[in-house]
Amino acid sequence: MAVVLNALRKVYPGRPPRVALDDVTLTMDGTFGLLGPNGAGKTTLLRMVATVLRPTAGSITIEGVPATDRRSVRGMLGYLPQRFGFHPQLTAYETLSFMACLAMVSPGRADLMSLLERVGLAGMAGTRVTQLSGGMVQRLGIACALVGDPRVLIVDEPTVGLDHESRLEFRALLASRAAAGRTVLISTHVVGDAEAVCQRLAVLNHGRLAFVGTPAELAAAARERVWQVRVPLAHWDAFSAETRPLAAVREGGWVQARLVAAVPPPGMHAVPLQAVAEDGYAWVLGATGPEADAP
Amino acid sequence: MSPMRAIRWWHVLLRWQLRLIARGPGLWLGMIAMAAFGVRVAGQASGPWEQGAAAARWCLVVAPLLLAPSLASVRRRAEAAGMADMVQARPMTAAGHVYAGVAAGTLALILVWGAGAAAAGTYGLLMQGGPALALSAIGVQALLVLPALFLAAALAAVADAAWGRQEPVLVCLATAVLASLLYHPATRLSNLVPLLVPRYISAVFGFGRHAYVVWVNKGWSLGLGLFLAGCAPVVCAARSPLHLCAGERRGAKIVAVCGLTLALACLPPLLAAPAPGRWADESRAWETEQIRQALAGAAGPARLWDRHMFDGGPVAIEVWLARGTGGAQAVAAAAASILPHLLELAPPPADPLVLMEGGSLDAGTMLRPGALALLPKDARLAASGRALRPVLRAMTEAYWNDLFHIGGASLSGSAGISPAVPVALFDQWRVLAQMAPDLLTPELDAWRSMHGTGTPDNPPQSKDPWSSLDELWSSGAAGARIWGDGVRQALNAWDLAQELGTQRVREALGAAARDLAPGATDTPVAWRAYWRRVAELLGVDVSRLGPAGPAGGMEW
Repeated sequence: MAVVLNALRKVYPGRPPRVALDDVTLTMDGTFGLLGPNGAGKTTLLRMVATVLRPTAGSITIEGVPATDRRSVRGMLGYLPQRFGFHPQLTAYETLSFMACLAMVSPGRADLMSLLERVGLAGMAGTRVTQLSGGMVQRLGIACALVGDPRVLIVDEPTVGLDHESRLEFRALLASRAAAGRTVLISTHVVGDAEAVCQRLAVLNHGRLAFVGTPAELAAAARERVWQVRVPLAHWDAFSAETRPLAAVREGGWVQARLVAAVPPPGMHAVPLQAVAEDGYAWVLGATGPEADAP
Repeated sequence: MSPMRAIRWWHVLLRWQLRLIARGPGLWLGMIAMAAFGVRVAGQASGPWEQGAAAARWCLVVAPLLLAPSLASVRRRAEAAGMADMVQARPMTAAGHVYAGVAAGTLALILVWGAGAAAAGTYGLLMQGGPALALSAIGVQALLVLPALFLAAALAAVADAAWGRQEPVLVCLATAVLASLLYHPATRLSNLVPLLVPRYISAVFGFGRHAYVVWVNKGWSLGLGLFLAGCAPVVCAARSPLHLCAGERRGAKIVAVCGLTLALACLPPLLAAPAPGRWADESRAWETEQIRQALAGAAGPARLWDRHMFDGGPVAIEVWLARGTGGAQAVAAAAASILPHLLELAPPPADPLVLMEGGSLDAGTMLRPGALALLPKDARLAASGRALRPVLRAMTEAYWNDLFHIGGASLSGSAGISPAVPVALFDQWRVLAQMAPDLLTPELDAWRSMHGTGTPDNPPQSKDPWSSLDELWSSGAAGARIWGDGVRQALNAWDLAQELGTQRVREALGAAARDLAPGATDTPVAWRAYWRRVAELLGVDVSRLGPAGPAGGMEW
């Protein structure tokens, strides 16, 4: 039960051509998270897995079926893109029913209502999508992706626009999919979401794979590289521009900052801290950024 | 997936496509617009065939413009809603999307056309005493129109598949149809226009000798539509992430090849046939010839009519109406009552007066002494119990057209350039004044109020004069439809008759007509010469008969 990418490459035509993904080889199974900054290639990768974008080179295999067999592969997929909308003429229930038609499955009314209930929209079944809030539309999108009980669920930035409670519900929903033995691919730039839900993670940076492993391994990448320092307020601007700290708290005439670096800043008293996944993510991005690539 | 299963899913998707179209404004706006056009064409066209054809043309002008955002669109609608990726990542194939879209688009166009046809029928029922667009005509019209509607939907599908847009293509289509409405089809290439419906269709004989051109044209449209419908899924799969199964690809290719073969097979006869403008004239002549043959006793064409003989009165009256049409008794009764006031139409001794229904003669025409043609519309009006006025119009026009040497002229109730129209109108008023003055007064009032529209001396009436005239014409209670110099001259002649005597004016009108050379009646010069001669015979100044010539602004 896996999605396997082999030497995947995507180049968008243009002058000059833009390499969105370069030589990505990866096996994704269970609940798998894709992390990366904007423009890292996460959405391109997921769109190729969802068969709506053709790779320039390389191959994708889903559950053992090559993605070129789009008819078979699409029968296994549920896909929620990063940006989406619905026909404004339809109600929430009708939208779900329409997506079931496109998925060529015929669930009964009870099944569709149960799906709406799972995303907390049972009470809005008869409401037109234009009257739903942004968060509700997001939840309806998730319900649409779940129509037909797909074996592989692909969700691109699913928690954007969701409030804290909805995010927690969404995490539980994805966890239940994983518990049911389904593969879930989730792309996000919120490390907390990925850490909470995913069994394994990959970090993409500038179209290249920067890291693959568990959340714990991602945190371990920054082990002994996380520091807490106190900086006089007067020097803070210059310090933050140079070191790009992850977090900062002002305390009187001082700023207490958390930063990831191979060595503590010279001339300062730095306290080593326990690394978490976000630290690892920052370390990986810093280590594979443009500066790191420079000779 | 089996073909049956695939078709089942296409059917489900078709229902969704229709629901989406029905919930948008385009379909309803289109239906409302077409209903308005339906009423318009019902009032103007003289028979059900012409009305159906006009409704179809307007349908292809109006509907694509209003339905463009939703007609047969797969890519465009999904992209507009922001759900393209979600739609394309699903197992539904390009063939499913395209065929559901084409079917939904065709059905939407049929609904829009149907709104126009229904409005025309209702208008006919209410204003003309019978369905203007007869059900039988709707049936055949639907056959004539369907290939064009299907072709429009298939064209939209290809445009949507190729570019994700179809508005430009549909706007071009609407423009082309509009252009075909405005320009007379004079070249053979006009035979290739998908909406080709004969400009003239006989109520009795149908399409006439060039009927095959119409059906071959429908074959051409259908073939072209099938070709496009076959290409659309392949193009869609090539230009979008939607996929196409091997079986569907094969099926689509077969449809495209069959369509192309049919279209190509229809091409030579269409290019070999005369231009529609010409064969419409030929058909008119052919119909008149058929009527003459029927009058001469030829058995062949006679089977298309029901012959009714009424010989209880001083003159036997024979009425030939298209098979299954009622109203013969009313026509005969009206003709019998009018005949003593129009003795020139009396048949030779021992012969009956013959009235034959014939749509080619937009105005009544003498076929031979004692035999004249009656418009299908007038026959329908007679069947509804309002026979006198339309039969009177047919009889007077037959007499005066014959006198002016106009055989089967296309006057269509309009005050054209020929003096025959005002003179016939004058004569109708003369007979009405003797037979039914109560019918004359409202008609004269309507014309006079039109005459006074907008002038300082005669302020407009409280009721719209155009509207009251429209009502009179539609109910068969007016002898002409459109205000113009011809009607103005009829009114002037009528006013002069009140002073000099009706019979004297009529005799002068007739004598002047006899003085005109055959074939020289439809020119401004002949018009002026005619009225000068009438004034001379009456001994009055020509300005009393009309201030202008046939074209507005012309001086005497």
